Amino acid sequence: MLDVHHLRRDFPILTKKIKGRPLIYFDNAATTQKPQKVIDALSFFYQNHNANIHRGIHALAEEATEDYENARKKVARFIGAKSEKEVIFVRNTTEALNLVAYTWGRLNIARGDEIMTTVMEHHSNFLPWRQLAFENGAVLKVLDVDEEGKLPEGHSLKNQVSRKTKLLALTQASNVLGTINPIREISSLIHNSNLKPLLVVDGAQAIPHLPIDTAELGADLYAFSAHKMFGPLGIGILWGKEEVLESLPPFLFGGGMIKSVTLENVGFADLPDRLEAGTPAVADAVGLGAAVDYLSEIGMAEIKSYEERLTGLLLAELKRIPEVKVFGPDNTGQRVPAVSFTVGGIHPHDVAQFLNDKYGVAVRAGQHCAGPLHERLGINATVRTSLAFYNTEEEVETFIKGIKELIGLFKS
Amino acid sequence: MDLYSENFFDHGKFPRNRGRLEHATHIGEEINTSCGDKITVQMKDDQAKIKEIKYEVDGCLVTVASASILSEKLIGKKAEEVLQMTPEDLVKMLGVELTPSRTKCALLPLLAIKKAIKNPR
Ligand SMILES: Cc1ncc(COP(=O)(O)O)c(C=O)c1O
Repeated sequence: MLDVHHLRRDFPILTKKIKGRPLIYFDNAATTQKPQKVIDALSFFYQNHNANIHRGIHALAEEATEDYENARKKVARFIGAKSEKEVIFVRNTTEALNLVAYTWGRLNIARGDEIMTTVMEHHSNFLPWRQLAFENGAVLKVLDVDEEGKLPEGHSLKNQVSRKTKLLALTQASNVLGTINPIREISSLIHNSNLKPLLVVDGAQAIPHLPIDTAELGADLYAFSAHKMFGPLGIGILWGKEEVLESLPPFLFGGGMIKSVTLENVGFADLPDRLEAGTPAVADAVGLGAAVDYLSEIGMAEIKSYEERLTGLLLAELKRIPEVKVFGPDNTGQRVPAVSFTVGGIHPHDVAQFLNDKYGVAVRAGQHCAGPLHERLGINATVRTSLAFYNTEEEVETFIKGIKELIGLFKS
Repeated sequence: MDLYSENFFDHGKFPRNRGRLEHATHIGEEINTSCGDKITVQMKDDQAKIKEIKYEVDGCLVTVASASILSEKLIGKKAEEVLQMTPEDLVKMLGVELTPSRTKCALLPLLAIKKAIKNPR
């Protein structure tokens, strides 16, 4: 069993006080906190190995290159990639998805084709496809969710995918509803019907909470951000099947992505360099490597089962408060710990402000970059509480106390 | 003073002068793009002085309290004077501490009032 009080000591920021009260950090879906090992890895790199990679023959350049490529290997192992060539360093999930839209998309989407996505997507897995459809004259189809915040299953899903569907972009876990979409089932369902849309999966909210095995998942491409999985800000990953990545034309042009250049001819580098133009965020890659080491040490299965219990407590407590309306699935096995809700007629900003001011609780209020989903739910904004494995039952209880006091204050 | 101080919170919970104004001479509307909160202000003026303010608002405590307080404190002020008001002037008038993001909420009614001043019917 995961020893939460022991693990909390790995995160220096968790001892911070907010207006005299201990910080309760419940905004993990926005970004997670960083363990000391990640912070140390960043400063170790800058203190000992800092150099540009792939281009020097001096000792530091070799060390930096080795660090960078080692980080790639660690990530590849963490997500079950078949080789490290399948792991492309980018800035974040948003850049990974845009890379696909600008390369594969501009090349393969023709007038009259269909691009399919879902109403629960984060803007970064919606707008690149909307723009691509607009520019290439394709049709954007958007899968709806049911009352529990789940996508259609079986036939009703299959019936909406056709030969015209060239790309299906969906999230593995919703950042608002928490819903986990069954990527493997969706992938087999589609492929068993001999349909072949490119399956692009947004893993940003899944990777901090679930064991991920890309070899098993059934996706063609998978995107995620280090900062949401206890790693540094500013670096992310695009994973892709090797044959899919091989088929992508270069995205950005410049240094590091070529074999040779003359005035007449350009030879592009092999994967993964071909898709990584310019000096990469080497230290941040190293930090991400430290984050996946840290997560592997705890074990993603351990994290998942601890979080399921904690989410169960949070949901049960919230549902006992009559003024609170919770969105997303009830079953903790079918959701990640991002729980969005409204509190009577109290404005979500006022809820977040009160929890911060009086209880030191950090939650997010607004649309969480999911405008179409809020429109679908028929509400302007929600409050979102999103947990991580370092959160505790006591924190959940304090948060619930805060919600009750808030209701008393606003309703009296 | 924080947001939950008696006077400010009271204005947020029981806003004064909410509603529509018959025979308004000026109308202004503003939307907070970060949260979708919206306010419409109707005013009457009398020789370039604000005589009456009413507003319809769908917003958070800070926006509503700010609208309510402004609808009282700006009465009798010269339109010119109100157009000159800065965010700092507003925060001083409201008498609460606001973070930068909540200052935006408080500003919404003032922006709508300024728009109304420039928008006679
Ligand atoms: C589901 C989902 N997709 C994509 C993103 C975008 O991540 P980033 O801002 O790191 O590119 C987020 C983060 O907010 C998210 O929650």
